[in-house]
Amino acid sequence: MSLVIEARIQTNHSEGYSLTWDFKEGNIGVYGPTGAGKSTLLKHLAGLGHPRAERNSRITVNGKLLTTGPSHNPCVYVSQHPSLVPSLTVTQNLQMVRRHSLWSSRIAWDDVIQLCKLAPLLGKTPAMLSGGELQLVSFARALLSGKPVILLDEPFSALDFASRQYCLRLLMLLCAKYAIHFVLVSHNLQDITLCCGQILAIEDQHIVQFGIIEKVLHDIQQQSAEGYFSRLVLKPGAKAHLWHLEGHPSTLIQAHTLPSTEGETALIALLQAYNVTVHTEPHRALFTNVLSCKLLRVHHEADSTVTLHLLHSKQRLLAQMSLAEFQALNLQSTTINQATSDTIAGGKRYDTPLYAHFASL
Amino acid sequence: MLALTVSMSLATLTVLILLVICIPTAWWLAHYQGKAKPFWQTLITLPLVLPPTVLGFYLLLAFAPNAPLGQLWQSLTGTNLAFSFSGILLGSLIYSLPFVMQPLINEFQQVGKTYQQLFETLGVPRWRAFFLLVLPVCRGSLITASTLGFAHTLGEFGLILLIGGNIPGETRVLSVELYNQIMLLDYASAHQSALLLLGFSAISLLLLYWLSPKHQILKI
Repeated sequence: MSLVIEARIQTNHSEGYSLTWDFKEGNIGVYGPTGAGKSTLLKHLAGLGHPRAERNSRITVNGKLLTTGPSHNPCVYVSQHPSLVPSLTVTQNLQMVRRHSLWSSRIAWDDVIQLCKLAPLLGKTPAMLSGGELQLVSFARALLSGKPVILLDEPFSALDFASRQYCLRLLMLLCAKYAIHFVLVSHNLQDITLCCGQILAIEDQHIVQFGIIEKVLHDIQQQSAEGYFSRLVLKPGAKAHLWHLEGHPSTLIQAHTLPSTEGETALIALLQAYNVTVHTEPHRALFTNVLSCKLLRVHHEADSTVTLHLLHSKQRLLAQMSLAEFQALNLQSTTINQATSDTIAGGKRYDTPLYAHFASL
Repeated sequence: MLALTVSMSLATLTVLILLVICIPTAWWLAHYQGKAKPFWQTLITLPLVLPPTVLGFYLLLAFAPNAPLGQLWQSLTGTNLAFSFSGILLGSLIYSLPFVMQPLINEFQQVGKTYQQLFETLGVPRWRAFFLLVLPVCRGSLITASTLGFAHTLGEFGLILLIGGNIPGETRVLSVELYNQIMLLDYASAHQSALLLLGFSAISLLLLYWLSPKHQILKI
């Protein structure tokens, strides 16, 4: 069953937030600069805001108004600064919540321990754990609370790159397999893009963008300093030559296996625009991964570079190159009436088929 | 030994009653953000800085049979509040209140609120979270509050003498007994009483530091 949260949240420091979140589009990422109000929004959603603000807020879940305290709220808030009971072991900290929560756990104890890789930590006290390990225990505790929506406030900030990537992949798996929905707050747009289906962008206590990633990612990227990248869901061997994606997350490409209930393997990949080269022939470059594309738009940047907006399997792929390189492609275009299509920049339609090449390592 | 029994009964009852009063009050004050907060804080802390004789004088007036409080007590129990065990118990409750209340307010403000919010967002109902999870987490301050309250009540002198007098087996506590022995120049008995008070004070402090949370693991 799909979960829909509608909220009118009154905060002490702004005019508040109005939002409607439908989790059928997948997890939700909350993106914004420091001090934008991301944590405040999540705390209010979990019923942990200032009592006066909470009284003036209105949250409904699947149309049912929430009037009781945080324990009855389906959202659990996980801070980036975990608070574990210092005198108890990891096992005791986890069992305590599992035993006393009003909500029955959606995942078995053994599965949580295995998925969060907590087995070596179970007998330790919080003082013996690193910051990253504390965050993992805090995340596992939220899973064991049994609540269906987990609000993660920079939950993996203290983890190393590989562990963080694993945890982000875990969010997709938990969403697909156990119907646990996540809201992920992060300063890192790539982290959000990897594991979320929708993005909410906040600036200065205001929601400036909200929608599915395919629609709003580019607009958010234009305002962010992270550079352009694309998110593609790829099926190896289907319509392209993809050989070196799976299991090789690197600085050039991050690729995750998408959990699927139908048993088919798909990859979700982030491609930096400056690592994608475009040619008019499929095997021009040495790169082993090739995607056939159609050119949608050419965006001229301020620094004499161009960003190509390509279309592959109904997904947007960005490639960046110098203006000279683009001109060397010598693409044939026809001038058309701009009003006939929103995919045309400068009133031109590019008919030449293109091939995007990129490396996996 | 009669005086020791009175002292122990008084200190134990004072601590138990104060814990019942102070835990909910301290929790409320830790969360209360209204304009009257400084007023309530002043009222609670006042016995800490007030000379015992000042407090004793006002309590003696309030306990008088013709005063409203004294009259009310007499109509309810048929006995006088002044110069009775109940009178010195009531005085001790007021006099030792800040020693029990203050550690609890501090702990609830710094730690209790965080854990209460944490456990509630994890799905634990409010009262269950408070009694089963937050209070055990705050046990350090509970031990501190109890020990301070006990030791302070045991050492009371001026207030007890003013509102309780010197009635053996009723209001004569160990510190008053020591005073009597010194007045009678009975130094051998005075040594015994003083050593008992010294021992109890030292043991209370030792327990306070020994039972601090770092020395123990509590299983919930």
